[in-house]
Amino acid sequence: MTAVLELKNIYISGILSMPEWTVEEGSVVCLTGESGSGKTTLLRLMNNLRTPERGDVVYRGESVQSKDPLTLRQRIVMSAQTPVVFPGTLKENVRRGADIAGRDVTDSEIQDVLRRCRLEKPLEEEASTLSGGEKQRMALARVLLMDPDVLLLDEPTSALDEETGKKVLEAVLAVCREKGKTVIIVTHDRSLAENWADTVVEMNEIAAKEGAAHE
Amino acid sequence: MNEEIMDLAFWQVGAAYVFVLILVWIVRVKGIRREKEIFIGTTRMTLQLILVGYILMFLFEQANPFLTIGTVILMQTFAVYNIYQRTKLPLTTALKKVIALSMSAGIAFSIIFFMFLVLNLDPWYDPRYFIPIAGMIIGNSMTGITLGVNNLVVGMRDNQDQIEGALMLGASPKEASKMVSDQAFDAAMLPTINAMVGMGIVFLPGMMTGQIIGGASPITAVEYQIAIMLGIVGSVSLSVLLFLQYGYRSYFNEQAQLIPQKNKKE
Repeated sequence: MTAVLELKNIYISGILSMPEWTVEEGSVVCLTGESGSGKTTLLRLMNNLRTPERGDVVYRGESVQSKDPLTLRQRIVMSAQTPVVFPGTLKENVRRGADIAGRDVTDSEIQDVLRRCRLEKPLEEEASTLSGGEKQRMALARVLLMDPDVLLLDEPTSALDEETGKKVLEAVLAVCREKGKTVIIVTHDRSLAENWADTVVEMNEIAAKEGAAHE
Repeated sequence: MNEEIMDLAFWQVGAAYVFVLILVWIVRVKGIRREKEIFIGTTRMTLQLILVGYILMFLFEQANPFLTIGTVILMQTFAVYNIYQRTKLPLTTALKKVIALSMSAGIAFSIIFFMFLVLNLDPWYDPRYFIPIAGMIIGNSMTGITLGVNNLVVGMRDNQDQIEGALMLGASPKEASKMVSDQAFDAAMLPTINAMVGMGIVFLPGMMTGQIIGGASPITAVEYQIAIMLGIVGSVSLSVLLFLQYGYRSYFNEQAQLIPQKNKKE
């Protein structure tokens, strides 16, 4: 297995301290832990939305900071816990990521990805009128349609009921497995982690803070 | 049509203050407690206008290019300072620089275009035309840029999640902040566009009224008004476009990350 992402002695004062961590290509990694333990920050570092005070994030052998940030984010794409809704229709929202990445997509591809995410709504519906759970599924469909190398998903189904959330994630993870995508997902769902994850990382708030104090 | 202008006697100007006294009396009776503000406002207006009257008299008598340009630069500096004071959120040094440069460039271009091409003044620095017209261009641009700046800083704060959401997908900072920039442009231009739409029907603009009272033919006054209004539109839109073109960049670092902002003015 090749390493797709390597975290090297990451440190952000009072938030995060991680020694060495490697993510294998095509693996599914589940991040669990209390809120405030640095899970979202870790995803943001990998997406290069934030730079650590010390240490480095390496993507395919090169520091993320040495790469063009826009191209990098189209390859290591992140979906935030609060889904981002752009002005416009469901279709425009779902294809937004692919448009940014310059990827040509057809309506049937959009419908297919929405079906996988269990969101069957008219494509021309105004995205702002969707419910919280529907917006989350729309955001998931958006990153899937971008066909990236790595997907960083921050509690992607937190607004859905447990049953639906599990079904949606299982469908998404099945697609990612099939295509050999690497997925790093923040979740509180233990059974999902046990059934799907190659690695489960328990992010402990106290450990993160103590680690920080030892620096 | 160049009739002698009707001068106001001292007692006539004084009589206008009776209105203020009536206002103060009403405010007091109603218990609104704004007497102090009305008094300060009226006094400041009176002193400032008397002072500017003497300064203008001095400048018109001197008719010196350095004095004219110096006055315009001073007005411009005050306008920039005023924008810094009137924004709702703290401004970074980078954004302050963008404001000063875009406003200076937009106004300088408009003034040069207006004074040399449209009016073709002789001498070019004739303070009787140069200073009041530059003042109108600067004042209107200041209002436009202030609105643009406020909408940009508040929009960048309120839409952080959406901007970062676009960055996460690999959008460029320009693309990610486009919605905020577009709204800021609309907000900055709206008062000027509204002024043009209502002009002549809803109200007679100040300069035109002044010229007519001063004895000029209404047609001459209209010609000046049209020209100055177009100069103002040009100046506001150019200044605001320049500001927005460079202003959004101050919110991102070289890694295309959103820089955390302060939320309160110190």
